[in-house]
Amino acid sequence: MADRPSATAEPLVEVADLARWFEVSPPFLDRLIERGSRRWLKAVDGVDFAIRRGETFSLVGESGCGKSTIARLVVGLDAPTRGSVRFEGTEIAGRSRDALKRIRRRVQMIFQDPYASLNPRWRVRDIIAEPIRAHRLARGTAAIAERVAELLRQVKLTPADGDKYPHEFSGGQRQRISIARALASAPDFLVCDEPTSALDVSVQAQILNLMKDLQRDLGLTYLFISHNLAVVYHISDRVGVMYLGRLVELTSGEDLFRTPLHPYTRLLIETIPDMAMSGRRREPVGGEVPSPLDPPAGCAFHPRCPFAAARCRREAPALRRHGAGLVACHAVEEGRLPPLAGSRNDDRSAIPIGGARA
Amino acid sequence: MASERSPLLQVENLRIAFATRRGEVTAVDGVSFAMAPGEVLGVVGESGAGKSLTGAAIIGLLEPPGHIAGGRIVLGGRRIDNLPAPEMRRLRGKEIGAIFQDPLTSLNPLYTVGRQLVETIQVHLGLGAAAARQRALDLLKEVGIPAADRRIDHYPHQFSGGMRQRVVIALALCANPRLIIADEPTTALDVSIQAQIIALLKRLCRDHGMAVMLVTHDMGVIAETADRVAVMYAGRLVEIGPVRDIVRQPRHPYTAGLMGSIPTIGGRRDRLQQIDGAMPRPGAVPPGCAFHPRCRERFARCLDERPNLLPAGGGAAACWLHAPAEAAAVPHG
Repeated sequence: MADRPSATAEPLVEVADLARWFEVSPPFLDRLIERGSRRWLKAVDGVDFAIRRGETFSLVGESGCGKSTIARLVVGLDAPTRGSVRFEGTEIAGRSRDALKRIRRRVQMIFQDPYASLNPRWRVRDIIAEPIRAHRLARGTAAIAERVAELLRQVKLTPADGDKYPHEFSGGQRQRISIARALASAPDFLVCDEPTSALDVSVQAQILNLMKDLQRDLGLTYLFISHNLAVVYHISDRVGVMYLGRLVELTSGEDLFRTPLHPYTRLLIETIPDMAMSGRRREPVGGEVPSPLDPPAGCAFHPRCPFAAARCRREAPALRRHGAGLVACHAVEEGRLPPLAGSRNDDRSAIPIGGARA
Repeated sequence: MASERSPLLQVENLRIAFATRRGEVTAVDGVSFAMAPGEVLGVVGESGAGKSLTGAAIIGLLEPPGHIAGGRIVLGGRRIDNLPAPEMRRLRGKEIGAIFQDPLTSLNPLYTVGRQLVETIQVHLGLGAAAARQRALDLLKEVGIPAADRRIDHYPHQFSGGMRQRVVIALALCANPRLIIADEPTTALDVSIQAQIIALLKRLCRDHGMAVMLVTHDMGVIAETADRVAVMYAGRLVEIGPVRDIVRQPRHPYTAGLMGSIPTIGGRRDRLQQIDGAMPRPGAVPPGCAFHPRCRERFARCLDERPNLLPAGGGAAACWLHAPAEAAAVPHG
């Protein structure tokens, strides 16, 4: 069993041994005839983490690593195959809608696609008012209208925007509306699944700044899901790196990017195209993420890992404390991992940015 | 790199318009640039800036009601924007290759990748069946498909996303084109695969002397791949120059804002620089400089006089700050 990330204060959200398997077996008769067995896609397989009150905890990884499945499990949109999700100590996983009603108000989600997540036939003020009505947070038309106007101002839109329909807004403005709707029930905890991935960079900057402001003003706690390491670096207090349904490293945002330990984290940080890499040549790491239907034995990363040894092919490493963070790697544990040659920060300091004009 | 003396591609004052119920809407307006043989030109901008339309116009794949409403496109000395459709079809693939974002839409799911490659090679190069298959095999090996002699008979769905994009690149290379238009070639791929495809494109460009017009919204990809960068805003070219200049010392306030809004690893973690407001939609572009309502450095001239590209640093920027008279008064950097 892995070390649980110890929180200094009582964590707001605690996830323990969380797993979600999807059955992908052939139909029963085919199995009978071909003597096939049932097959499972282990989208999430034994994940532990805790999120502290007021922090931004990010999960990062490539497509199919299970990060979005975790987001859905944490808000109760899906039930886990095994494990638990606790919100302020109350178990969420597998509970009925009614039992979760009080928690539901306090946990909200923001989705990637602001085009698909707003009802096109509703005016914006009705979209935002729905959670207020559903949770009876304000009574009377005037009180609700006032609260909607306040929420619109909070996300830097104007109360007059409430009369419009979603299609009258740009992608960035729609994401602001999604955020206003999420805030309408006065939640403590927001799960944000790739909230800026569909947006242009300049709009992304506006949304990320807004999210930081709201966190500061309202004391929100974020679970932030993203594939974009630079965005994760920018917004996170702590980061969990996922690979094929498991956490491979979990540490503070600063440490993760300054001294990445797991070979997969290193690969990710090494390979993202970056502005500071202009004009450089480098050798990209080969290989691709294996199919989650047929993950490699032992450590799932071993076929791509330059430090893989016999033990890595045999035995899956557990997430263990190493320095300030947690890492699931035999090479780290055995001290076989060479130190990182020249961190990115050193590279960067060598490049004058905005220096003297020619 | 070859100099501007013998450009491979010249785009002059290109205007792309859409016929709508409310009249003609201009989506790309007065775009001019040239590409040298073997050069990688990155074209960046936000959604709707006109970068993909510019690429589509060059390769003759503008979708109606979009059409070229003005200007010229010259490839290797020959004007190609007014070619009849059959002639453009012959040119496309042979002289200009294309790589699009989603490899699945570029490949026919009903044919093996080998058949698609062989067909393309035969159409453009007129090789016999055996020679065409050999070339297809060589191309698959060149783009890094493992066990190419076996994979050549597989269907597109049997390849992963990254491998499929390699097949699309092989398809674009079939007739050894002089120019490749790559529109968001790595956007649909995971980061570790993205790096492999970028490295592949760079290598091919070097080995074959192909020029690549790389259209993307990802500045990281541009910074690592391109020789020069063209920045588009609201259908106009606002800045063009060597990649180092654009990334480190942008001369147009929009480019500077765009660079500042990109989070970088190891950078500061407080607030990102923010350009307030949004890019105007086509048809609602303000008079004067299209960026002036969002620009912190605007002055009277920006409001009613549209700036053309003016020399700035190692490149050019469409900004009145760089007009000789203004530059002395308000340095920007």
